[in-house]
Amino acid sequence: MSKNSINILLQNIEIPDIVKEKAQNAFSQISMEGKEEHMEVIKYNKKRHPLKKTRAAAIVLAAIVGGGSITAVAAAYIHWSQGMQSKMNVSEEQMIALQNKEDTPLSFPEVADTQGEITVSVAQCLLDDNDIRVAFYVEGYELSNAESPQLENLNILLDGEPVNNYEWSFYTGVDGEEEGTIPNDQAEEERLELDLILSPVDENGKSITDLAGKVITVQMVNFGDTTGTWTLEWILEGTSTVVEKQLHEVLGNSGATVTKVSLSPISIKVCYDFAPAEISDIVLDENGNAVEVSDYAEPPQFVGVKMTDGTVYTAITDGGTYGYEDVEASLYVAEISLSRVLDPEKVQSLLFLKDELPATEQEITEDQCYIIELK
Amino acid sequence: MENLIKRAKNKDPDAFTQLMQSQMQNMYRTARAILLNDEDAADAIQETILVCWEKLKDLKEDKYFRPWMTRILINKCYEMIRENTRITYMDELPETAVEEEVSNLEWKEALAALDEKYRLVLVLFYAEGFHTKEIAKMLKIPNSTVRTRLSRGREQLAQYYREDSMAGKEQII
Repeated sequence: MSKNSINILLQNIEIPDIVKEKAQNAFSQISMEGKEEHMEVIKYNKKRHPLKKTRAAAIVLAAIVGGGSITAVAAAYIHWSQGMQSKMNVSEEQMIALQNKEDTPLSFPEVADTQGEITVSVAQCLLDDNDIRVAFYVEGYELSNAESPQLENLNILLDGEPVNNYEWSFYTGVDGEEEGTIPNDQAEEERLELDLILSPVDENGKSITDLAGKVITVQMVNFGDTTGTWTLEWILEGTSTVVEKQLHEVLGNSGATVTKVSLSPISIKVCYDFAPAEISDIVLDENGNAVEVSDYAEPPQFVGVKMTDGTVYTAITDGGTYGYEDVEASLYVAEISLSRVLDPEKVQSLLFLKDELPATEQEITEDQCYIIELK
Repeated sequence: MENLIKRAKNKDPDAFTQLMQSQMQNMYRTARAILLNDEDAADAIQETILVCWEKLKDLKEDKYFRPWMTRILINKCYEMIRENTRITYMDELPETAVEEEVSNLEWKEALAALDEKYRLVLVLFYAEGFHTKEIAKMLKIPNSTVRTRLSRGREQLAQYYREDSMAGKEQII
């Protein structure tokens, strides 16, 4: 008889003693604190309840690279933050081109918040209809030797409403540097960089688009042992050159047809005509009973581009949102963030993976892909 | 559980302890799925308990206690990985810890056979009973990615057991 592999994950497991001991330490500490807090409460009850304090947001203007407003300058450009340069694989030529374009996705909002010793400011922002990328500088956050920076939580609101689908990380160096270390120039400047990527969806998972003009609020909660909430709020600015094509490209025998693509320098939106096909699987529920789980099949995924000069970039996707926008109309939409700044007008073709992404990190080649010509 | 959450929110340490004790299996499965190490999992759980005690009053809706607590635990686990504060090798563990590593062996082997991104999603879905949408929120990834990872994770686990079963047959021959 073959083993049911999922059943193994469900089996009752024994909690190791080391886990029980450490949990008990925490409970003992809480028990002591609880008693002290209980006494505090009794004392407070003798007085009027104090008014709830509202945090006074200390918004100050941050001088960014010499300060002053940003004007288009023919030969000079504002250096991007190290993390944004690295994560978006942007060349110097592209930085100059983007800064000097009228419809640029690039902005340098002058926003900062200081709480205690730590000041957080916006270094730069990239924006298109679907995607936001922001680099923040964090100054005054002192790290002891070998300590990595920590941010406990980060919340985002657009026009006052909470949104989901974002990731953040401290920039810890380019490929090849030791993971988790802070680059030397950051350490010397005593300034850390925190990078955020956001493809906003609302609480129902619906994508939020047309982002320019919306007010973004970013709240950062507790840097390491330094408690507090740093709030930065600004109006999103920027537009992007978008190459938009209505198509009717059948992707082999996958059953999917690409009907429209919109390509900006930092993201791509792909619309498919792909009839929903339920696939089912038998799994065990928490009581060990076999239950049937159904799901929708996925169309071939976008994985890269071929440029007009013949350069092929694969593995340039950096998350996003995927799914049926209209199940009855078979309209499946993928909105994908890119990990490389592209000039949409120089994209020759789009690559879609024929099979599911390989589990290993092997490089994807053109012959593994369906190719759609845009030129 | 609702009653315990209410009392715990009012800073009743006994209720809070009882509440968190009821979540120990869940917490351990999740922490182990990320860290693959009991000692690190213990540290992450300890810190999570303390954070939950401090922040529970901020939880707006009691019905979201489990996803909220799990999210805190996942963040703690990833913080530990980023900090890279400890790399524990089996030959460095004290004897009792090695004995503990041997317990739940089949379960641990199954976890270790999976890539991390599949491991966590499978544990949250099958063992913890979260819906894919809840998992997507917790991990801040699209729902479709959760579903893809579930599918690939199931396949990877099945493949592992197919190979395991073949190896067993070869040994018998």
